[in-house]
Amino acid sequence: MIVDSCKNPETKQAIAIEYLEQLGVDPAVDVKSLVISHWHSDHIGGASQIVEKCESAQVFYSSALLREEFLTFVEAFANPLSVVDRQAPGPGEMANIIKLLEERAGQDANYSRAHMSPAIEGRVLYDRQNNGLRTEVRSLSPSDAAFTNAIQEFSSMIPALNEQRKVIPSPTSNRNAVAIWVNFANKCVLLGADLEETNEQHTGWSAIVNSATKPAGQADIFKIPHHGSITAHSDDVWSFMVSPEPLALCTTFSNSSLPTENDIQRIKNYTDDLYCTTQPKSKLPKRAPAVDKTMNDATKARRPLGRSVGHIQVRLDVNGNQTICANQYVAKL
Amino acid sequence: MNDTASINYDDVTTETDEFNRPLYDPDKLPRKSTEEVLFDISSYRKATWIEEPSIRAPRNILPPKSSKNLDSFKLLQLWEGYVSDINGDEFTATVCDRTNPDYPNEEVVFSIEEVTPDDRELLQKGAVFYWSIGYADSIGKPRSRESRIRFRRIPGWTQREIDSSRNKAKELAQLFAAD
Repeated sequence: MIVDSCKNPETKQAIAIEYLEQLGVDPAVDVKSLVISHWHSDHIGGASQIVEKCESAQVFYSSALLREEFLTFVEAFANPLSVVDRQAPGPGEMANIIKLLEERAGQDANYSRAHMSPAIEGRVLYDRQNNGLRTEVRSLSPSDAAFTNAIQEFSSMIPALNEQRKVIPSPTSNRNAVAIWVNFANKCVLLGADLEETNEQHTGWSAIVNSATKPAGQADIFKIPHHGSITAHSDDVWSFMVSPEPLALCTTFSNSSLPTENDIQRIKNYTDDLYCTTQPKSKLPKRAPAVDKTMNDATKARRPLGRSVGHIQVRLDVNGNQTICANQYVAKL
Repeated sequence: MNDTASINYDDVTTETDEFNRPLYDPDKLPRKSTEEVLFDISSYRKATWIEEPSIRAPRNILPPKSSKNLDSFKLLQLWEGYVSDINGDEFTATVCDRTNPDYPNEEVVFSIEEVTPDDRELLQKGAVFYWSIGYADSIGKPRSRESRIRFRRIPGWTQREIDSSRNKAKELAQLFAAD
């Protein structure tokens, strides 16, 4: 199973595919499912390559993404005349994925039923027994209320007549993201996607903690939601769904300087075992002195948006023993 | 009465005009009767009396065409950016290096004063602009290093585009519906 995607900035290929091929895995045959937790650019880069290569995989997607409102939004911004941030290709990737799914559904009337499923609260995405070892994957979100909110949000993003063309609106909320729970051996893994805490009973992390379908057990491995942002923090999740001192994994998000120093300190109150996929700060590249001087004169502030790719590999054996490997762009905090 | 043909004009020529045509002292010209003058005038009008080259504009009355452009801009660096936030008298933008595509994007904060007044109404969240840095040359002025921000002017969304997106979306939603 592949959950979300990002691209190797050098090869422009989906990193998940590169990684699996290095391990000798054949994506076309061995990848059984792909989860698209939400459409934001930092989670979907290269996903269309995965859909294209993993022909037999089941595609799970956040439930509002293949509804008319979001499809209208994607169709509008896939228009060659629309303005797209070249570095934020989220809708472009979604447009490519939709095109691939459309072609396959057009050729096979049963394709949608067999290969496409919306991920919603409490849905089992994978449940297999191999050599006495059970692996179960389930989606914990979005809730029905979050789905409704997402539909309304997508409707508001559809361009209006004569409206000035701008880059695709930056998403303001992450309430429709798909959080995932994995049971393997005797370990539990909680993948938080970008799901935020809304402090509303029926949306966000509150909806999961209060849900009748909340999984039993506590996660030993926790992928921190929304890059460690305070907006995704839930005391209840740490108290009821995550074991004490879990292995915590955080991905930095340069565009918003996440996680902040405060975020890191807050997370470290819960665990000392915290890894970040890139160093939180990057240096400015060297430019011609005349250019640098003029840039500094013309701007009040500057900072680079880093492109180094961190890689944390966590492996569990059949007894649940874990080993951790990381590349040079990973920081243990 | 003297015949004009018999006049020695050297005796009555006093000076020449700027085109080197002789100017005659009228007091020294032989007097004629009115009838003769009128006759002469009518003959004069028929004759081409100017023996010097035809009147034409002197050469080089226009300044020579300059071989260089009057204003030029030597581009050193170009970014394409979009506005991510506007806050009071400043705005934040993400800029993508078009001169060095391998360099990472940068987030920059500009004062709104960096935007030319013509473009202020285009300054909105999501608006796209070009930011160029280079040397500006003008005749008669010293070279200056300049930073220029120019917003893209793109036609607004049309009803046809919106309708086309809606129709296609409806079609896709029905195709993907599993139930």
